[in-house]
Amino acid sequence: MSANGTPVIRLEGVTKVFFTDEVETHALAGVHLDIRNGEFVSIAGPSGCGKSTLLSILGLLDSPSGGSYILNGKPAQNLNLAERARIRNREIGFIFQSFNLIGDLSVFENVELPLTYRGMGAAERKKRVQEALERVGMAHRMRHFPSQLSGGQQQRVAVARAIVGQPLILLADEPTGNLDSVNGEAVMSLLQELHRNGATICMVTHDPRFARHADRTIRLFDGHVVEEEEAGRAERDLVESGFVAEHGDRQRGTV
Amino acid sequence: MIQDLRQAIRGLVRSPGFASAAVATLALGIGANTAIFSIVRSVLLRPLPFADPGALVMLRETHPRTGPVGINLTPANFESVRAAARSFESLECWDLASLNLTGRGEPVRLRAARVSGGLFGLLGVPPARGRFFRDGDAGVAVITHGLWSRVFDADPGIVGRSITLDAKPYTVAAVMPRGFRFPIQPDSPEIWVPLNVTALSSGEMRDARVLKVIGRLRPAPGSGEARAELAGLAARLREARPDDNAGLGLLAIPLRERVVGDARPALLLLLGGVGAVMLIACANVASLLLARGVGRRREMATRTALGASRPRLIRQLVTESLALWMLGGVFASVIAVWGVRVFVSIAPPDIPRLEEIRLGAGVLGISLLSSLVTGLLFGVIPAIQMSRSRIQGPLQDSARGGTSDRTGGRLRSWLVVSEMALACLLVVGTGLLTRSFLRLRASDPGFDAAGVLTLEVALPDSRYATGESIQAFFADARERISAIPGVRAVGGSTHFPYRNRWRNPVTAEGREPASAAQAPLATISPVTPGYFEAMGIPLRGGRLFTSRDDAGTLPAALLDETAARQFFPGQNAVGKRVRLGSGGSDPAWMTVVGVVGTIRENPEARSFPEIYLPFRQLAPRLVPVLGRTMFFAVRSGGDPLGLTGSIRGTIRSIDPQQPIAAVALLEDLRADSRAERRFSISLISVFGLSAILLAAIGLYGLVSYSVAQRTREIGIRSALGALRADIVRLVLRQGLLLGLAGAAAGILASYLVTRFLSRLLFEISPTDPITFAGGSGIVLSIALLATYLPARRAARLDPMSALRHE
Ligand SMILES: Nc1ncnc2c1ncn2[C@@H]1O[C@H](COP(=O)(O)OP(=O)(O)OP(=O)(O)O)[C@@H](O)[C@H]1O
Ligand SMILES: [Mg+2]
Repeated sequence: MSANGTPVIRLEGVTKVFFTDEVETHALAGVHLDIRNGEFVSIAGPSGCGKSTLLSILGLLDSPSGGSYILNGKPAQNLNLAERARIRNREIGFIFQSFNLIGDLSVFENVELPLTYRGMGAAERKKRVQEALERVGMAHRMRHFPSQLSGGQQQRVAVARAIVGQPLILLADEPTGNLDSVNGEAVMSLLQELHRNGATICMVTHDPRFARHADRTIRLFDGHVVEEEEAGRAERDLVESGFVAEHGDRQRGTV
Repeated sequence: MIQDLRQAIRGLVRSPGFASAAVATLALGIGANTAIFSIVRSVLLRPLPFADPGALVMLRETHPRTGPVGINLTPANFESVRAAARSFESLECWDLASLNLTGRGEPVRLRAARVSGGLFGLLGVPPARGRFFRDGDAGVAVITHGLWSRVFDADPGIVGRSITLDAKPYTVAAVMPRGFRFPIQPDSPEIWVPLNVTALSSGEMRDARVLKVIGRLRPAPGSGEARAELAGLAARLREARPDDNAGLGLLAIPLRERVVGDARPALLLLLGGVGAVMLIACANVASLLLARGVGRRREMATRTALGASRPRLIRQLVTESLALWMLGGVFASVIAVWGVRVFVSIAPPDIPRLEEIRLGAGVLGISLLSSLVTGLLFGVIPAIQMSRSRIQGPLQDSARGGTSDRTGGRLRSWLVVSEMALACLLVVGTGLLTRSFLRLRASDPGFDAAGVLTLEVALPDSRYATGESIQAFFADARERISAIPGVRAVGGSTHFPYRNRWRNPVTAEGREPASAAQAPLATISPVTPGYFEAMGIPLRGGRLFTSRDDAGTLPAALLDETAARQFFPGQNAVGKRVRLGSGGSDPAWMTVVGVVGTIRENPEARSFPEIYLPFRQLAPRLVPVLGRTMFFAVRSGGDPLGLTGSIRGTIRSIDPQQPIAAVALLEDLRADSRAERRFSISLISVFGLSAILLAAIGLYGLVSYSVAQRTREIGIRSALGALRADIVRLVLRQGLLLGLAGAAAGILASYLVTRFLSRLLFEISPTDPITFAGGSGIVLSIALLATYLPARRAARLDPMSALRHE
């Protein structure tokens, strides 16, 4: 499925600098990026190159040090706290590497959470949660607690939680990173199915096998976008460039 | 071990919130507790400073009309009992008096006691200097260490020196050791002179109930023996003098009970407070350590996985608990020492045995020990919980990125809820006592104290032997004082509110009692003209006394409203007649000329009807006995204390050797009468305060800890769109639920417990709804505050770093 329509996300010259102990870390150094409606974009790159930072800026968990971020046609960098929270709640669905389900809440309550923050009525919430859990095949585990689920199941619940609010875009940071290959595949095919049904997805992954599911792969290096490519080429290039082998033992982008 | 200690200290430094909460808890809990308990022990539990004090009893007469503590003995009865009683090693007596010391600059009035010769021997405290007088000695005196150093400049040659008391020469026989007091009471005597019991029991006063009697019990197998003997003696006394001794009983009260009797409920209350605060402190330490333990489960698991044995882990935790405890202990000791010092300096002097209060090392030890045990117990729990099967859990939790802490919280929540409940109970108790005190203070005493100066003039019998001379002196004095510029009204009474009262059986005409024992008791006050104007006691009907009510006119009396109602119910008392005594021969009928308002000097106590008579009509033979001390009330237009000098001068213009004493504002007398109560209320408030503080620390610690634990969860929630307000609400709800549960339990506990306070409460129900609501309100607001701080911190968390949080 090819990219089309208006950009949901537009980044222009976005930078992010962290200051720690007199060390400046340029996690992002002028990133340009368009993500159009319905696209499935994957972000790759060596450890420490700024992938998570990019994703958290896209998700309004963090704000850029410079540049502009246009979300759904509106500038997003000068929003106040409440507006940011509102957008996170309605327009964005997060999927984390470490699932991040809340242990004290049941599967149902976890999925329900974004809707609760939206102030939606209970009946409506119940209906939507049920739908979302059915889509990820976890409806039968509604009353369970996260600790009673396997990793793959937990991640499927996390996906349900991300999509329950019908967000504009799904942001996934290494959603398969904590899963074995079988469970990883299951979650990936779930994302693909969502994509086929029209979801816009932006996913960070190291794994070339999963990157190939995407329409487009963006390669980051030292806080720069060094390559953008269409589906299918990412895997080959990554292997050739040696990034796959290097993954995990290099910290870049530090001045 | 050194390594453990170093790690422990580093660990504490790294979590300053936990460390300071724990240290504050220990310091406050142990410190305040030790201080208060030391005080309670000194006052209530430590033996009196006399030889074998357990064998000392007070002997009292009881009559059908008297309260449970009885009244003094008559000299006649004392003589009979002393001669016959077998179960006492010795029986001695005393009577309080005042003596004017002259010849050393300004005349001063000394608090004195006339004591029988064997009294000092009975108490078994040897003098610091000289030797005691014996029965039959006269013109000798024993003085306190304080008087010796204050008035006699600690003159080493004092023994044998001659001094002038009430214009008669006395020789100083002995100086008592520092701190000796007898009788133990707020204004203990400074000087003791011999009391001639034999003369007393054969004279005018033989049937006056004036003697305070102390006895030393013989060591006896059964304690019932003395009681049985006293019952027999009482029966004999009733038979011998059926008129005076109708309904008489004899009662032996352990001396300790007499001394601390009044303070006992308040002190026991304090003890309850101590217990509650100690419990709260221990619960706090426990809950803090548990929280910390849960937070460190993963660390413990990792250490175990790396091969640390359980004893090794326990050793580490024990070291940590010990380090905390030592730090807390140091602060606690400082607070305890300082607390006792502050207490002694601010306590009203009428707290019994105040000067004996010392910090109890044992008490400190016990408090330190109990906190140590708690600390060790709860500090080690995490290591014990770390059984092999559990290692995996925490480690896996991290792998799965869970945020669960569903197991650890229950016990901690229970602890905090109990703390809140105890704090609520203490706050409600404090509230009840305070409200009762405020009502007491606001209650109408029946006189107008503002602008009134009171003072005392006691005429020595050496120079004023006859009733006529005394009456003439006081009439003259009143006349001259009223002429002082600025004096609006002046009057005196030989018996005065808050000073001394004279109660006597009385008979109302037409309501003569069936037997002497049934005659009602009334407070009798012989007053000069002007007394009611000076005191601001309103006239309700008839007329007040004037200077024409004297020996030459018909005996007159004024009744207070209580007396009028009781003696002449439904009638106009004016014109009716009353007389002193329970019938029989002697005293004459007095015609009621008026009715005045009732004085309520102690609104809590049952008030006796009061009868006023003109001082000039008091039988001249009674005047030297009952009327030698006059309390003047002087109502001033300006500053009452400013009159002191001219009043002193006026008295001296009549008799240059005559001092005035006990100069005080009537308002202060009234306030002083409540000082002890105010003091114990402020002590209780200290408990309420520390309880609330400790509970707040506990809740704060718990919620802070759980916020720290839930950092990641909070990050997730904000990623999912939670507003700051949502996060604040999330945390507040946790604290408020605990607070609500605590307040509810506290209210229930108060409902069950406060009834034991009812004896200390004035015009307020032990389940006063306003106080209960206020108490729970305070606890809830404190809970809210203690939760709000961590809640705000939680809301300020940066979602990104919260998500990264381990
Ligand atoms: N809060 C922060 N404070 C300081 N430096 C930070 C912070 N967050 C990220 N960094 C730095 O910014 C750079 C980019 O980090 P980021 O987490 O985006 O990398 P990444 O590409 O996601 O790496 P990985 O594949 O290992 O997850 C790193 O050098 C990192 O150390
Ligand atoms: Mg990352």
